[in-house]
Amino acid sequence: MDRSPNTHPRRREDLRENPLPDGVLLYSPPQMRAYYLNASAYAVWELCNGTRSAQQIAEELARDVGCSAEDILSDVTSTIVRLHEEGLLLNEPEDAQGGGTGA
Amino acid sequence: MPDPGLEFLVEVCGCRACVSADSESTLRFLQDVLRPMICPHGRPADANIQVSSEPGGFALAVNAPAPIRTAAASLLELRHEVLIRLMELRPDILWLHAGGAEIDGSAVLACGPWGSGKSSLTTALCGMGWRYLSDDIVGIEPHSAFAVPFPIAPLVRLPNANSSAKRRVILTSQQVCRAPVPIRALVFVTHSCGAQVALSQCQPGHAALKLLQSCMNFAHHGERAVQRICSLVKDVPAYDLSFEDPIPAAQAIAGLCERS
Repeated sequence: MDRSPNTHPRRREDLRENPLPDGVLLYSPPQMRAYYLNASAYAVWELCNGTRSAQQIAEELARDVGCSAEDILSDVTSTIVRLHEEGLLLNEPEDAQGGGTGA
Repeated sequence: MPDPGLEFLVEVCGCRACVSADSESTLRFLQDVLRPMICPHGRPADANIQVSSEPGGFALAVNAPAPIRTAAASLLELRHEVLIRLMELRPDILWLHAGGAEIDGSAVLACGPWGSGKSSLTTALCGMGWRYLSDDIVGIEPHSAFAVPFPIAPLVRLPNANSSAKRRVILTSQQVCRAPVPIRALVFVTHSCGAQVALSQCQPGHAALKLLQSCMNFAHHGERAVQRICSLVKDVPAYDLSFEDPIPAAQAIAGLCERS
């Protein structure tokens, strides 16, 4: 996974979202695998639509919480890396069908 | 055909199974395991579980819900196989690897892997006047999200920390809860030597993941299990509990229920 703030991560579209008071439980029916994202990780995952860079995601979230993008960019980037490691983001650009290994 | 004297009936959430064996020792073993679930002969059984001794172990023939023949190499495996077949009588129920005890019409479920202290905690609660649902398997009803009892005879660790040996606990009929009850709290238990009782809140997301890991028929339910468990953890408070001595741990659970 490229850690550059210029990558454009894209979330998997095949995951079912089950909201919880403290985050979201994502479920992959074909893999029969569940993933828990806390509210912060879910906010990042939701913005990963393949058009926003990590920098832009950090800017959007920073606007929402009233801080500077620089303050949260490193957290956003490490969250994206972790989401990718867990198989919740698509590989770019060759993987357009979803997948990943999950946790 | 087994000797009609070598069989008994058990009831699992409204379904009846006739368990038979071709030897008295095997039948006695199964009766000991299933004693709190044994019911009087009356209406016909919904399923028959026939156990026969074979070289190297046992063979099981089950006629419902689907005909199955399977084998078990030891009494421990036989116990496991029979419990699986009994759970399969109600596939609509979400079966969890959990203990449970009820007081004042609602239950606390103790979830955790083998050796985590579910049995010790559950039987300690029963010693304080709670009624027993199970020490190993509890179901979740499909529509009400009530806890479904599966009262196999409880086994607790002998008071030697280095031993995995267990002894059977005898319960009176009045100490056993047989009807589904609402769930008051979920407790994820960890037995650790030398640990003081530590009870803390478990966030819903972590509770959901732990319950999914405890789900014994997840493959059957798939996404429905996820939805039902998410719904459960939204409504029911969850806690992590670590302990060595089950008595103060049970007292902590009772105190929690008195406060809530």
